[in-house]
Amino acid sequence: MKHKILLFTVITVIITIVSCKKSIDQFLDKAPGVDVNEDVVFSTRLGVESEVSTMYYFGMVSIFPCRDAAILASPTGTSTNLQGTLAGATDESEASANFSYVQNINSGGITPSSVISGEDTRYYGRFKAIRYANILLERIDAVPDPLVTDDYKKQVKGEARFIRALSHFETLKRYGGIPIIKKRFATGVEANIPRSSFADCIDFIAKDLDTAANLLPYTYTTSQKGRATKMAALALKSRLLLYAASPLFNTATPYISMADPANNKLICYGNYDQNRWNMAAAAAKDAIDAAAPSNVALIDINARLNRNPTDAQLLQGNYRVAWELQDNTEVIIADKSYGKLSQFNFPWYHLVPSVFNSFFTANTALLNLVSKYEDTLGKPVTWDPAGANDLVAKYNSLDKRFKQTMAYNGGRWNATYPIIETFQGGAHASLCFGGSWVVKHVPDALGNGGSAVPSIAYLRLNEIYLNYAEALSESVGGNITEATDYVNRIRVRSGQPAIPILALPLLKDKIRNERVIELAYEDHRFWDIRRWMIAEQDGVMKGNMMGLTITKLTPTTFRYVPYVIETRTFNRQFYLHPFDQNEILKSNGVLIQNPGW
Amino acid sequence: MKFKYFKIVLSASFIVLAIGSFATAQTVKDTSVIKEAKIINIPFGKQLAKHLTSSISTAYGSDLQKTFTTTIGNTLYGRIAGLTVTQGGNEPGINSAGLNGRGNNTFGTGNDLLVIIDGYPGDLTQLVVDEIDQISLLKDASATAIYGGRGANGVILVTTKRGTISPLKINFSTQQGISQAIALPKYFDSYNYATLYNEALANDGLAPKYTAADLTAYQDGSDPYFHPNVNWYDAVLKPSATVANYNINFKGGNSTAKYFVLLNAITSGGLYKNFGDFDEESSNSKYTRYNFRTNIDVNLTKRLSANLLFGGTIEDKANPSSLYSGGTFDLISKIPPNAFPIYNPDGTFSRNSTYSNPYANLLKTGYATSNGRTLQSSFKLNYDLSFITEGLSVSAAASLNNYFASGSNFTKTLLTRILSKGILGDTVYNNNGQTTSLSQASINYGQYRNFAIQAFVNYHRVFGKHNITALGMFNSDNSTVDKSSIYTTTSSANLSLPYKSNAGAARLTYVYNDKYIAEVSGSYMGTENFAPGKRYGLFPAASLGWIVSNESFLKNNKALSFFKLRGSYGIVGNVDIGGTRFLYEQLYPYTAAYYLGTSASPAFSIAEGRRASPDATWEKENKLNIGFDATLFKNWDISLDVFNQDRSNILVTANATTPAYLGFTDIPYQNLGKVNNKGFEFVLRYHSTDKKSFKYFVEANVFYAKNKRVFDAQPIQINQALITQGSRLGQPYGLKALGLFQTDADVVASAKPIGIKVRTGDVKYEDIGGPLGVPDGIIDANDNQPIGNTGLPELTVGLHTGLQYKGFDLDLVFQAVSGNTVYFGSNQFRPFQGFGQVGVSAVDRWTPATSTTAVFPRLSSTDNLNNYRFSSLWQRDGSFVKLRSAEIGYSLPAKLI
Repeated sequence: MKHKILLFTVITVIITIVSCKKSIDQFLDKAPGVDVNEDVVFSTRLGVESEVSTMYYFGMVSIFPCRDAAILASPTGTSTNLQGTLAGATDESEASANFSYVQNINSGGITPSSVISGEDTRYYGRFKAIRYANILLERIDAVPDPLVTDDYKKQVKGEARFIRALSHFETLKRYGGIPIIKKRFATGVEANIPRSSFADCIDFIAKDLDTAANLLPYTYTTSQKGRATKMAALALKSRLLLYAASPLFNTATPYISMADPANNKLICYGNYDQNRWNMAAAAAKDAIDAAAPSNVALIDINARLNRNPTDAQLLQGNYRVAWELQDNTEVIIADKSYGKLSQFNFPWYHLVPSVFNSFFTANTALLNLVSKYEDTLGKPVTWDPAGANDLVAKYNSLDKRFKQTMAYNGGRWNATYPIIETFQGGAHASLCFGGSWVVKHVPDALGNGGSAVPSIAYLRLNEIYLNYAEALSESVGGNITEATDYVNRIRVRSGQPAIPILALPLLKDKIRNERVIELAYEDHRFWDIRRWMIAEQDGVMKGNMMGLTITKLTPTTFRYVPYVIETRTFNRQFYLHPFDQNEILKSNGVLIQNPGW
Repeated sequence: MKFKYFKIVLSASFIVLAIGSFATAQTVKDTSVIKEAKIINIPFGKQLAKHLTSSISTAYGSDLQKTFTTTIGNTLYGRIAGLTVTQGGNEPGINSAGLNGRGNNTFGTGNDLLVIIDGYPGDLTQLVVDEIDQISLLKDASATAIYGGRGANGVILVTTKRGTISPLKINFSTQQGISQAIALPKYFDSYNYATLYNEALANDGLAPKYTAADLTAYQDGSDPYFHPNVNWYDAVLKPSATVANYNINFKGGNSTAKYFVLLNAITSGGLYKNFGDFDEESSNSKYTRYNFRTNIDVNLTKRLSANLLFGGTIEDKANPSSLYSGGTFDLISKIPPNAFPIYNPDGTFSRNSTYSNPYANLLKTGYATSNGRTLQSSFKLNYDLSFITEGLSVSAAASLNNYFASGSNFTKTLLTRILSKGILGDTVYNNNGQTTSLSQASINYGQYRNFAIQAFVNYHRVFGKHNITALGMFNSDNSTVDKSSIYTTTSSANLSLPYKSNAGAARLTYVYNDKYIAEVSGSYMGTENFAPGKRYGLFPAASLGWIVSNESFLKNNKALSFFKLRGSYGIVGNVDIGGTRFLYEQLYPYTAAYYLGTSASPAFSIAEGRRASPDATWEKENKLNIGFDATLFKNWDISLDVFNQDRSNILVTANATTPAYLGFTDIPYQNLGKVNNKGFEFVLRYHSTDKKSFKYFVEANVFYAKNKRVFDAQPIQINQALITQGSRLGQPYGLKALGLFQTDADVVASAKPIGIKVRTGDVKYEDIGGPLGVPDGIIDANDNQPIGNTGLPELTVGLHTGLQYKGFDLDLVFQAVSGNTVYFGSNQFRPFQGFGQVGVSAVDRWTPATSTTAVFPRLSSTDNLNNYRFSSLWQRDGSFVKLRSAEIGYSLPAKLI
């Protein structure tokens, strides 16, 4: 009896355990929910679109101050708020905030430990964008949604390649040759990728851009503006090859030799080849040829309407419209990270000076740049080092683009501040070291408490014209006439007289000066200085930075006296950024640091 | 029956007079660990103390009763070897001491002890001492392995009182006490404030603010509106508050049923003045908690018995202005005494542009209430299967625990007026805010529900010299925690999913001839937090014991009447690993908007989030424990435990190795962290011989633990002093102060923070690092280095003594700690910082006259960015000896009653 009961009990227990096993296992399973995973994202067109827009968010480059924590957050959890633009590190301007990161660059204080927080805050964000692009390339073909048509797949592949190329380019222009990331890495895979040679990087990026150009459409509908187009890929390739052909990289001997000269190929081509300029010119021409079918054109309406425009018209002139009007015809691709914002929001408050009721403050123009503006007759302008009493006349004599760029004494900020006073004791003089503020990028719509969508054009047609002119002027058998013609298209639409056909050295100087004026404050100068290797010239990134002390003599006459705002330091190793110290240490010797750091 | 008619208890913040009858089970009785029949509660069972091979320390409810406080954690100071109790606040209802078992074992977020009440996870703070039979700390692998993935941090095992076979016993007691702030920060009055402020201005090279006439006005109080002198502590606090406890319990039983029934009420008033008495839209500060418990054990048939345990609390709290007082105490520690009077000349409340008026806040801005309920219930059926084989039984049990707290905030805003003097000497008011009517908002303070089922097979039998005890069990639990009101940013529905676990566990104890003991135990446990297929883990432990004194060569040895060697080793887990839940899942969260098109409408963006950790798993601890228990010369008990605990699999992010170009949004978590913790516990007890009329005992318990970060995946540090690997958990990193600058030449020659004007009398720091890893002449975060010790003591000593002579008895508990550091970071050490007041510690400030003896830096009239950095200047050794509890009692002779 006892044994029967025991047997019975044991059998019951076993049956119970076996029958419970499944429910016990299921007990720990997670309740079905609405969690989104990668398969969900890549099951619908809507999901693909959300990944695409994230890729743009991280990958599209802003020429405005960078702050977004999602982009900047580094793996160690620090994020840095960049105060102002890189213009403050060049002869374009002095940042009025003494805590701006550019002050550290100007004092020569960039180190491998501070480079990411001190300039390249999008370092991590770019690699995220590359990862998202690689995920899209990997998965787009297998999306089952019928809305994901072959045309759409082509377009997304083109966009992914464009962003991948752009992200590599932005890293390349800072560091030279970089690790090329062609696919996504899974967790747990050993990854220690060395830097590729500069030439290989250029080839990789150019190939991605060629592929993208073949896949991408010329235009999108209005609601999709901001996506990469065929022309965007071609225009980026123009900039890429222009940089590659420039003296910093297109050379046998780098700015400083690597400790092991065999590594010099990481930071330059290792030889000079003038044909690289021809390739740059051809790339620019390809982009220019794509302009018409892309509905991209220079804004020259005012100039065409009235060959002798009045000042009032020029204040609202072509040049100003080209930077102020969102998605104007000149824009090839723009950063679209922001909605409509008032001036108390980022990024405006780093572009609006504190004297115009901003939370933070902004750039003040240096005389170093102002003195590069010609007069309206096309002649150089001399600023008396001892000072003079004719400031108003001086301002009136300058290239019309001056007044469409600067917020000068007597000029207009916006409807809230119709008359700017930067003279000593004036309402807007506080922290205005240079004598003028910079109005470029700050639309009139911010006046009277208004708000505006930032127009953050990354590539515009005017730059491509100047790329073309510069590349032609340096090419083997360059077409000087054509180069001059494209420079003049830029000049004439702003009311400047055309330049005649000049001897090469003079033409090169004219083209460079045109680039300085036309593309002022658009995040070009810093990189142009480096690729032209002119940083050490006095007053460029080294030496005295000049401003104007303005004194009010009568209500209509003002005296200016130039003075030294600060003396800057440029150390030669800063022709390229140092890689972040942590990245060097993590790589255990695989990632080779740039020379001099 | 013993009946004490008075009892005085001194404790951390209470003086208590108590009357009633008290269980005095442990008062100067022999609680020697080796007493022949002494039984210790172990997980899911009991064991003879002499057969114990695990490391377990126990305190008894009757002992804890001697410390009268509103929470149980505060009664445990110095009582249990290996348990570190750190002082919590004393605000009624939210005070809870921090409890650590054998110090800190992980830098992961889950370092809490597992609290088990009568077999199920519970909340210790909800119990009162009168319902507690035993509280034990389970320390080694052998004791905790049965809890599998929850046991690694140690376990607090609480058993509540049960009925016994006896006639009805009724205990009634009440304790009435007053509570006082032991030490409020002391600040200077207006005259001294103004004098010192002028000194601070002079230090900063500025002109004095207060004239001789001002100083006179502060001194003689002739101008209370424009030269006020308000001590805000006196203005809003009363000197003491009453605390009372009422307890009645019934106990008894017969062979069929046994019962223990308890009702307890604690009331406590806060230290605020009775603002509710002055204004009906405010409230007095008060706290009440009712505890009830019914524990019934019934023999239903010859073989079937049942245990029904039922306990709960109802907790009510009300406080003027806001539910918690921290904000008000912070405010009154800042307002300078001369900032503004309580009332303006026109009868309105005053304030200034920086600080609001705390008196007005408490009186006129409403109040907050909260109400919490807990219910702990369990039901267990036991069936005796001795008809199959002797000693076999099975049980099944279920438990439901529930907690809910909600409250109301009654708020209003108030017109206050900033008082100032106009140019013409007239009185000028600036209005601040406006008076509104009282509005009410309901608040959910959180809830949880915990349901568990358990099944047991028990076997115990003695065959001759063989003594076998075996336990097999299954446990499944499911708890839902809702903290939505506290964590309003809950981003994912994942976080509200229930926490679940399944476990099968077993323990087998074998004793041979009362000499040799072997025990194996373990748990096979799974939790919902890990990937399917990786949820279950085995947590085994084994222990051995040898009662040497039962060997023939020691038998009847007078000097060594008992001696047992024991050792244990095992692996225990900690599933509370931190990070987010369900780390194995790759989530695709919303990232940010991208505004395609010109209309600036955002496009929805979803992207890969933190990389999944498909292999995420529990923390694992390999615990080794070796010890002995001995009785020498009958009256001396000695017990020693030495332990080494290696925690591994602590969650870290691989900052040091993951390159940025992989493009991970966040670096995935990995179970790579390691911590080592080693130390010892030593208990020495002397008790007088039982028979004499003068009886006494002295017990000392010593606990020492030192931990070390073995691997913590810290990002690579250029400055060597910032490397945390090898340091202790919680090691503070700050600047090392070299003293105070005495000469201008020294200021010029030394490293300083940039952008700050440093003068003589300021703190001088050691420059040891820079962006390149070498001293750079600049004091900044690169110069941080390990300074001082952690807040958690390395050495804890409890001293417990009791004596009894005729009807009188005395009981004292001391606690001493060492190896910890305290930091002077409060407002009383920050004169004039943040527009604050000046504490009396400023007498030790630097002045040219006191330059050689000064302890603290010179005064500064504005925020000083050099002197008040986190530095060793403000650290002090945290060692102390405290009398935690003292009781004098007199028991009336039984014949009088």
